[in-house]
Amino acid sequence: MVRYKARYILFDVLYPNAPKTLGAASTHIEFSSPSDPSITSSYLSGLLRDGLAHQFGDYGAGVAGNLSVKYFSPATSTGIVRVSRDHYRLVWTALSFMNELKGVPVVIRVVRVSGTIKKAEQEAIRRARKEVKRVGGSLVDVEDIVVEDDEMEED
Amino acid sequence: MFHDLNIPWTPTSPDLPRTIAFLDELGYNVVALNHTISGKFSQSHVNPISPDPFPQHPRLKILRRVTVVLDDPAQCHHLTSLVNYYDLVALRPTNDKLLLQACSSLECDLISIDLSQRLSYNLKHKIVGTAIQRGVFLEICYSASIHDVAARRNLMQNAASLIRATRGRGIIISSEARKAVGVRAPFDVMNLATLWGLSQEKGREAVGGLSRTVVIQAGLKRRSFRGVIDIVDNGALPETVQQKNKRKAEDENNDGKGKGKPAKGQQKQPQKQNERQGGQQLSKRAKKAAARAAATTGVS
Repeated sequence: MVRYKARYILFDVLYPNAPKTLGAASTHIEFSSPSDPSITSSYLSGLLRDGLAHQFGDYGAGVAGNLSVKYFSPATSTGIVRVSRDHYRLVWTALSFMNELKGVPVVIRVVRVSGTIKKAEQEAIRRARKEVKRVGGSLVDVEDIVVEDDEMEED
Repeated sequence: MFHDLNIPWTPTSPDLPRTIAFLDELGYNVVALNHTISGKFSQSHVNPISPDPFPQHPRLKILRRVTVVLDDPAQCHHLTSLVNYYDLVALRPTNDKLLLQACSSLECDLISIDLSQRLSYNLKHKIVGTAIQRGVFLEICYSASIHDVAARRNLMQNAASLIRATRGRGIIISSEARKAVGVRAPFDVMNLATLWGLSQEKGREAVGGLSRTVVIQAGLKRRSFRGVIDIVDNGALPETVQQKNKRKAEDENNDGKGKGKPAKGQQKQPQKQNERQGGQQLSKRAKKAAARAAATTGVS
């Protein structure tokens, strides 16, 4: 019996349109801003399944349907999806073709495809650090946010 | 190097600065602003796009491109006059006769068929192959497929048949996005390409390597001597502060000594002077300390 092989897709959500409600203090990086807190991983996985069914029909939804959104943090607008290795491209396409979240136009960018969740996580932390550096903040709190979220996932 | 060679440009486009900023954020290096001409145009057509429209994005190289929608053979005569005004000239033939003409003889850098419509003809390897042999590549624009379901179907069908006809060679992918929402990151575009039937490497070529070839070939056509010889500026290294100071000091030394001296021994002169001044009194240790101090002040 061969082990089930998976791919972990790390993605981030970009907001190409100018934010209207958010003040200038919330973020200094253009195009990336915190997501709506009501967007959870279960909501996203439902959306992805719908997208798969829409794009690839019953076949696609069935064959790549064992996806699960392992992690999504609205604060940094990044997430990790787990899919079977053979069908990760279908899920990637479904992510690419997703163009709004809760009525807000978005662009979803896949940052990394990895075989283990650990590497995806490390990449997420690395990118978050880089962004904080770009804004000019301290480096301490980012890791705390990401790690805290992880611990909550495991509970 | 990632290229997006088709960003539509109109005289009044309020979304364009946002789109360009977004492309910069996504990691594109070269972007071509596209001015589409349909119908007849005069021979004295002048490029309406200003030469450097977005100086606030220094990392992004911005080219100017024109796309001529071909629906009348009479338009073909004036094409050569466009070459001087734009960095890239693309053709969009609307029927198979004009496609044949564009592939085999017309003066252009790119052929961009509108793949989001249903094509009334079949793409044949013989026709498309002649274009690629001439070094004229074909373009797939993906942006229409992101919002519109019908366009997505047509694009998938047509892209698959184009890839089949060209055997995966000579294809570049660009966005043709009118808004920032229609753009995708380079690696996402490569994934779309694998969906259409290109391999992973060919997909990468389509966003990076081949597009670069198109840009360079187009540049060669315009600047070089008979398309063969061109002067390349390698970009000399900028002079550092230290080198500048050193040169200044040398110049001053030269001035003080007069011009009759031979140039050979000049560079060693300042060192010798130092030695003569305090060389005998200083111990080795003191010399080292002095050298260290000089080095630190030099760096800062």
